Amino acid sequence: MTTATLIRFAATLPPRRARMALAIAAGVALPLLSAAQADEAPASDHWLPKCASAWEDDMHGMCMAIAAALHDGGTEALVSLRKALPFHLREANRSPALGTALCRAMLTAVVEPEAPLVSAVSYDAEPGVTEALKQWRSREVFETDLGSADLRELSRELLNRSIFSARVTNADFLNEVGVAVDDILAGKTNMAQGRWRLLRKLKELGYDPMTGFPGDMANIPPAERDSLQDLSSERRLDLILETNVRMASCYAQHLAGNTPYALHAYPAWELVRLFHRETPRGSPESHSIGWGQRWSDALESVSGEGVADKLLVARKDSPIWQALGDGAGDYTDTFGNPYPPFAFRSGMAWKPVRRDRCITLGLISGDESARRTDAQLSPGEKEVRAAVEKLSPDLRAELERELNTDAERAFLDRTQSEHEATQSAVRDERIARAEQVQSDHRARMKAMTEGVT
Amino acid sequence: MNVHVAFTHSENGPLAKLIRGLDGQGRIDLHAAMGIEVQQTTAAHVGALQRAPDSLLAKLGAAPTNFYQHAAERIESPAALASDASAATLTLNYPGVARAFRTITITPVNAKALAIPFDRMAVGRSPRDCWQELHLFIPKGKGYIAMRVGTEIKVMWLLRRFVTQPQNRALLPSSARWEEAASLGANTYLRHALN
Repeated sequence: MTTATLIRFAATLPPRRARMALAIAAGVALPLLSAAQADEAPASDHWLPKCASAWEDDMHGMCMAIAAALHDGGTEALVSLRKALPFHLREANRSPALGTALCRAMLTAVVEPEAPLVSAVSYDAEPGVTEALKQWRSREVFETDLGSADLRELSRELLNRSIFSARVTNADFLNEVGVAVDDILAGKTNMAQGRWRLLRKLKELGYDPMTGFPGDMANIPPAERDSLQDLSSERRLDLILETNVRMASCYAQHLAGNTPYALHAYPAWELVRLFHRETPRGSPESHSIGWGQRWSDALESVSGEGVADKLLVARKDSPIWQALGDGAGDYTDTFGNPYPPFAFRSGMAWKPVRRDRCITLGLISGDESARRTDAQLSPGEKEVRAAVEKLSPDLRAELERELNTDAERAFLDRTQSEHEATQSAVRDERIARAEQVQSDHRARMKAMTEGVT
Repeated sequence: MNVHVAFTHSENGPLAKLIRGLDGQGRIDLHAAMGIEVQQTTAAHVGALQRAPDSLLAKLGAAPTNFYQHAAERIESPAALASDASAATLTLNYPGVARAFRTITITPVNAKALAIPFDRMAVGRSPRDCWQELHLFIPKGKGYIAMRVGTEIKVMWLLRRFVTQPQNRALLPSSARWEEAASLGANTYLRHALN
């Protein structure tokens, strides 16, 4: 039996998609069978039962019949299969259109036994430079005497490109933070070693919580020892390291979550608690508002766009993520990013949600993917976009017209000149060919005349 | 550490033939799809790891250090995930991941000994962090760091020249699980492309 025979047979089936699916199934199955037969491997033992079980019980007989026909080959098998199909469909009280799904199931059944053959896993211990590391290494030290409330007023782009901490004016210390976070992201050290490194640097620089850094001209208020304002306290050092490491990691997570396959296979995120906290937000001891309420506030601010009912699940392109990061509901402990951590010391993180669950939740339709988000833009592109948004509508329209005009003119000029060059070449070629034909004709006529005379 | 996931260049099988026929972007996208599934599987596995109930830290009743959860989030950074025409590469950047593949021996760096927490208060901290605040000291001839509480001495950390941790493959998904995830990615991608 050849593939062509099988495809001709498939063409006799009524629904168009069923024909295509069967043809594909045949295209996959035939090489598999011929390879298996050449090795004398019992291929049917491997995939026939799976093929059958891929379908519901009442269609077992039909599926087995098709699978057997594919396996045994031969015109007789196909003829008997053609006769058997309507019988099986009637028996199962199904319409012939179900052939589409059947053939898909067959395709799955034929493909899946291949699984152990298709991938290979290997390892090496080379250090890897990840996106998180790249993002972190693009930052520069930014000394500031501003507190966290004032820092929130600064541009998010500036903060995302800076290594900073509230009321830290010492560049040496911030440089050390840069190195410590880099080492953690590269997997060279852990949090405790990073903390020790920063503590050692503070001692070296002569930091004291009451007086700050020696010779510091900034007017930084004295900090209570072991409080969050004390740079040398364990809580503050942990906060600096954990926040920066998580922000870099989650930025990379955001980027990866917006690749075409990720948007298709995992179109939504779920906000879940990943990190243990002694007193999580919303617990009675914390005297704070929990993530359920914060989610509701953010949800209200975006009118529920792309958000699932009663769950902390939303499409990747839903504006709720930015609203959470912006502290919608008047929360002042956020970072302004559309990715975790959404607030200081938050233990909440993202979990990708599979496509089938998103469809069940009504977040997405069967053939739809989530859109790409702003996280794909580089800081420079984001800055350009923000600058354009600040322009008046008239000015923006003019700018766009100018950009489009220039681009359009360049494109048209190029196209026109290319077109003219092509036309001219074609014309030259035609003239040359015509002249050649004419001269050949003249030569032939001359030869004939000479021959006659 | 890097994990590479690729198609086996097997002579048999229609998928191998189909994939051999792919070059350029199609193959890169296919590997990216495989890599994303492997990454999700790995992150879910590592994020769900819990401290063993019979571990020293669990016996001390210390709060979890979130070590594996931090690690999981860093695997998610698929920054981590680079794919090209030959394979998808997943980078696992966190200390101790090599233990999944071999027995490791930890030795002190810039110190004479390793400090192993022996008290709830010591968990997740280095004695250097709090040497002065806790009035720590090393009793002469003893292999531990202690804290004086009234007239008593409380052992805070044990001191060891090295620590050997046996291989534990369960710290990462099995190779079979990875292959399964890669196949899922490949099948989903191919089916999506066929439709």
